[in-house]
Amino acid sequence: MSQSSVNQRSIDRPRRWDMPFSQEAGHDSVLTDAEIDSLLANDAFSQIDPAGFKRSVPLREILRNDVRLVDFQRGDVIVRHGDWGSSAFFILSGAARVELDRGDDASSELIQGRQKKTRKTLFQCLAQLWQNSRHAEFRDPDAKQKVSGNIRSVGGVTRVYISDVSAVIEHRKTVRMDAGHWFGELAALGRTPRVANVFADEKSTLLEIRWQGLRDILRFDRDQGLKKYIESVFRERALASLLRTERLFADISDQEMADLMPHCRLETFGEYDTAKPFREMSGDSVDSVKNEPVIAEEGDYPNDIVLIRSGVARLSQEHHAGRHTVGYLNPGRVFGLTEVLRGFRSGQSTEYDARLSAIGYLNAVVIPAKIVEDLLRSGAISDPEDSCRPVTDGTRGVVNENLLNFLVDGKYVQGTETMVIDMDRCTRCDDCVRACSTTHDNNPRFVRHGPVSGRHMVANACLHCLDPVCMIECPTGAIHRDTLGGLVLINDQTCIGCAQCASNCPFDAIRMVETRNAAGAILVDSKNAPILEATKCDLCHDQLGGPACQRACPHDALERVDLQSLSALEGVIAR
Amino acid sequence: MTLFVRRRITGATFVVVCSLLLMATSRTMESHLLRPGTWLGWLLTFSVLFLASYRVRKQLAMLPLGSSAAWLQCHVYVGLLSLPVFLLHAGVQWPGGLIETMTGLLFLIVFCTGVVGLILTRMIPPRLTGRGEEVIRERIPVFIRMLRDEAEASVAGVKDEAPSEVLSELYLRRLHSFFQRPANFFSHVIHSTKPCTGLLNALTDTRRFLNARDEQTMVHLADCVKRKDDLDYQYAMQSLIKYWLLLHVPLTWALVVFASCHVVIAMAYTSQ
Repeated sequence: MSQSSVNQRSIDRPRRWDMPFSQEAGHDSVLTDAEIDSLLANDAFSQIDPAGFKRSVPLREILRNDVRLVDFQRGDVIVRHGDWGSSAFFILSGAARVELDRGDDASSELIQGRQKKTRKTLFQCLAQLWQNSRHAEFRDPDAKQKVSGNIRSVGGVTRVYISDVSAVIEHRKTVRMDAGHWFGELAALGRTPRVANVFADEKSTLLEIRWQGLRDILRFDRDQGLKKYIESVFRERALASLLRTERLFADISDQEMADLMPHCRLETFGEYDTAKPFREMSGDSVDSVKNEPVIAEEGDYPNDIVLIRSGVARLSQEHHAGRHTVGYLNPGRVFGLTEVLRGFRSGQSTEYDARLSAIGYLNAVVIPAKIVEDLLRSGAISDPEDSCRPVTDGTRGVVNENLLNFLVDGKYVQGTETMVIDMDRCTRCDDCVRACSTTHDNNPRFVRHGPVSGRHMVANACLHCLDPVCMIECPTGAIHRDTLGGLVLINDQTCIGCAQCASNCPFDAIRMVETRNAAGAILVDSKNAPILEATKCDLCHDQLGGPACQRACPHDALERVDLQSLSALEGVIAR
Repeated sequence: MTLFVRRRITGATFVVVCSLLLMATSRTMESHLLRPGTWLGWLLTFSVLFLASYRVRKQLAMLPLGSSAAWLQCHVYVGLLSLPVFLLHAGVQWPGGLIETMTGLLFLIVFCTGVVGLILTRMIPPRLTGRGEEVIRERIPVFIRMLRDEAEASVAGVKDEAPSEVLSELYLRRLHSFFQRPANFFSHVIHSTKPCTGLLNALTDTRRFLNARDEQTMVHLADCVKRKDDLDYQYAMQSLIKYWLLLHVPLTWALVVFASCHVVIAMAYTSQ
């Protein structure tokens, strides 16, 4: 670092479009004016009135900066089932094919770049004592070469491809999508996993738009054509099953569900894109509470019930000049129902007990309270007597407010397997690290270090997040969510070491390592650059007995906690 | 009542009840002219073997052998119970013979180190949490080096400004060795703040000889000393909690060897 850069205090303020989408993640092309004109003439955008857009966010600039044109060869995998996507696709020319079968056979695994989940036998577990490599990060170069046969690089972008497309079409249930089709928009806007594999059926050109651009088009398009289309797709494919996850609507008839759905709104809150803005905003918890987008205000009449689809929301109550954090809500949780039911029962006016605000990015289905009250009156849904629980006072619970703020502000509440260490019990013996190392070929997959609040540390181990941003933009699908257990795993045979996941992870839980051969020499490519691989905690998914770190802690200090509800954490703290 | 408190009460009750039962059984056997020493010896041998096997369990972290925490609970309470068993087995008199003396001595040392270890593992963690930044012990020398660089840069003065002679002299005389490596191990073990207070006083005493700029340097140096003292504290306490095992574990295996010899000899004489 030069002396001038050390002393430099003034820089240009970073702006949204400093890095166009067409130059991100290995892509290196800028859309020309002619290409933008051509896009504006396309059916997808020709119906949109550019006059409706803000001067600072014109449609033309959205296309220039939030869109890229991507060419695919026949067989190239475009999206994989289970991947976390942040972009949507529009087929400009050619065709894509969506795979409807979700079997776990070999071809599907190859497409998805994942490994078959197997658990070691008792003897294989024991054999780790003498079979573990003497060298750190040993990889079998032959095994890696064999699997990466279906990976190719086109213009600096790595793609997985299906070598025998005809066989896949013949043996698996697929549907062809021709030019003019959108896909991936629900996963992009909701930050939910892709629900199917899609691959190019022929040489195709696709428009890929990042979710911010899509969101702005939905927001400023006066005609609302695209918004109506996306909402209709959402209502058609996903809304009913989402609503049925809430106990209130679980037993509603199909007809009543059909009547309810048109009244529901799909809304997004906040600006959360990748880990970077989150890292910046997680610095000051006082400011973050003030700056979070408010979804529903404490004390307001409960007009809506909010069903969270993705993201995390904070519940807070006014306390003198500031706000108490009294809880948080994860995907699948509902806000406002308690108040609506209370009002319905008493027949009196009621108000929201707490403020609901989005921590970063949040996607929710908003259900008008009046519709729910009508359904209750007509008897279409029954009043669940036990669901009317007030928002708890955060100062009274086992989890004190400082710890709650720490977990919510740091977004650790995303974790389904958060490593929480009670530092008043931890003797720093590192038995957990040694056990992790033993079960991972002598390579520990976490660091017993991390942010501390009071006597609790959240260690730098993978949280196996509910919304794993690390999975966004993995080019080969090597980092994936296990379909059965929901764990986030890395297939080291298909990982190409691009470090996209490591830079996306907000918790520094993924580490890039230099791989070695059996002799301990670092593996290098033809240009003598080391072969890197992403590594992280896999929760000992292939070991008998579960996570070795937790089992190895002699003092009950280390626990893997599912923070989707506070009760699990309370159970750990109240021991 | 929390889970841990309940667990402690259950464990303590188990030890007390078992001890009373063993005493009663031993008395009853003696009153019937039977010799309880043999089966008490076997009980003690199996207890020692079980206690030693905890180390093996730690090495086999990959096997589903139950949690280490559950093993430790058993280790603690079986360990505590082994003392009354030993006293009932050996009686009040000190055993004669080299093997027996060594076995008895080793048992008592291992028992004592175990109790000391238990106390340390309960006392030290909250103290570590309450003082200084949380650091990994193996990284402490790196942090000390960074702190030393910071302190030396501070004393050396900034560009175009001569360093303060008073501070430079004090640094060379008192602080140079302090910043070289982890220091004052035993002071930290006994929670004495005397060495750190002495250094801070020495720094404060220089104030009358310093100008405004050098006084700022002195304050910064004092801050470095405090941070270094916190690192030393972390190093001392984390070392202490590791080092006691270096006594407890090897002596346990020595005890197993001597106890085995004692069993062989005892069985040989019993059979005659």
